[in-house]
Amino acid sequence: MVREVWILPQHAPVLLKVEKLLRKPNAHALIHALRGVSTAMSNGSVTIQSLLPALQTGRLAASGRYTFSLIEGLEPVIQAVAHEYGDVHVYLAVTGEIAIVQATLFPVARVRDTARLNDRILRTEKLFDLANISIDTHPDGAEFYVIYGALRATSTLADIEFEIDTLARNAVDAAAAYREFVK
Amino acid sequence: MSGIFMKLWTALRGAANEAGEAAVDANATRILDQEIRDADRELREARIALAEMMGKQSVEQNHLAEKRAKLEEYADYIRRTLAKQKEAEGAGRTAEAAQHGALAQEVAAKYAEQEAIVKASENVIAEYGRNIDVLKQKITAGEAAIRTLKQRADTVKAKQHVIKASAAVAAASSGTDTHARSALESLERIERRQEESLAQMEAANKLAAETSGAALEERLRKAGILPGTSAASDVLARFQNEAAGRMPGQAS
Repeated sequence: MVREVWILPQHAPVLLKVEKLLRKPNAHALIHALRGVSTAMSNGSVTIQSLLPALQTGRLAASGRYTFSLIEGLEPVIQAVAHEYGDVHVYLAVTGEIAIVQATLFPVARVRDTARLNDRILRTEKLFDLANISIDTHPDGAEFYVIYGALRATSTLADIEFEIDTLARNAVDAAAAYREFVK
Repeated sequence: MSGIFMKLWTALRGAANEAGEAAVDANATRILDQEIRDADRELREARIALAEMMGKQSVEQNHLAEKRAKLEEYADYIRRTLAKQKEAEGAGRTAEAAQHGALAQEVAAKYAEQEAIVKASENVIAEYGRNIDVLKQKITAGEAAIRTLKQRADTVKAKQHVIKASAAVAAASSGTDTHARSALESLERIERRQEESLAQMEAANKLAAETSGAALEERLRKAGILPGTSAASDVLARFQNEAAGRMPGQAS
């Protein structure tokens, strides 16, 4: 049977092996192996509890670029410290279908002219890929400019790691870009 | 703007007008949860209405089948009566023919009545069908709206969890090195590190230059190229010259 398949070019050798195996009448071993793959791919929504050990043994932690820990509380949140980006703190929370990755830029109180800064942010936010900028209010009333990205809670570990790494870089870049407005 | 978002926005704007822009944050979750409950209730009501409507349609369809059977029965009577009338006329039984004719007339009136009943029943079923379509659309739209609202509520809640956590970290360790580090502080840290490593690099370069310079000087001195250096052969030559009658220390 001839079928067209769409893959990334670098996976061609793997596909070739799979193709050869599937031409044999008896491909039980491969089918058995793929069962594990499909279980892994149909991953349900992640939770903070399932995500923490995955991140701690994942690519970002293994390279020593990030340290992950749990901020305990009513709603636990993962803290990622990005050593490569001045140890900026990136927080990750999951609720229902959504995962949020966020870093604090600077307090609103330190901004000289919020109207001008907001104008600049609205015009330049698009430079920060996969990220939005918003103002958040802490329980004590203190307000902060924050940068965050939202993704589906069903995202793969690789996607979540990519988002964390992108956000840490964006956070420091955004702080540099908007520093002139901060006193 | 969708109706459901318009409603949400109006509520948020109201909160902001009452208590300032910061109130939007505090009220977003409450308003979203209220919207989800409202939308859920509307959806449940629409599902109940749909079930009722489909039940009524099904009952009416059964009635229609009965009404159509009755109509068919009348049609059969008319055909048979007319056939008998024709047969009586052919045989010259005029009185009997007239009798059959009158009966056919009577059944035809019944048929017309029944036809109107069937038509009315068909109209009712079609009307139920239209209502069912509208309700189904409403349910699909309601389900999509709830999904959207839940996603928005999840986003707002996840952000609030992050806010609480970062505020807790800031409060628990303020002043220490591990306090919640903002991107601006990290940027300053990166720049400080860069300055430090730049200074270190400069110092190292300077040191390297000095040591390599000193080594060169030493080599030149040994080779007797640099002034102020006295090689043993020079000293000996000076004394040999002295013995030959010249002043010591004079260069040859």
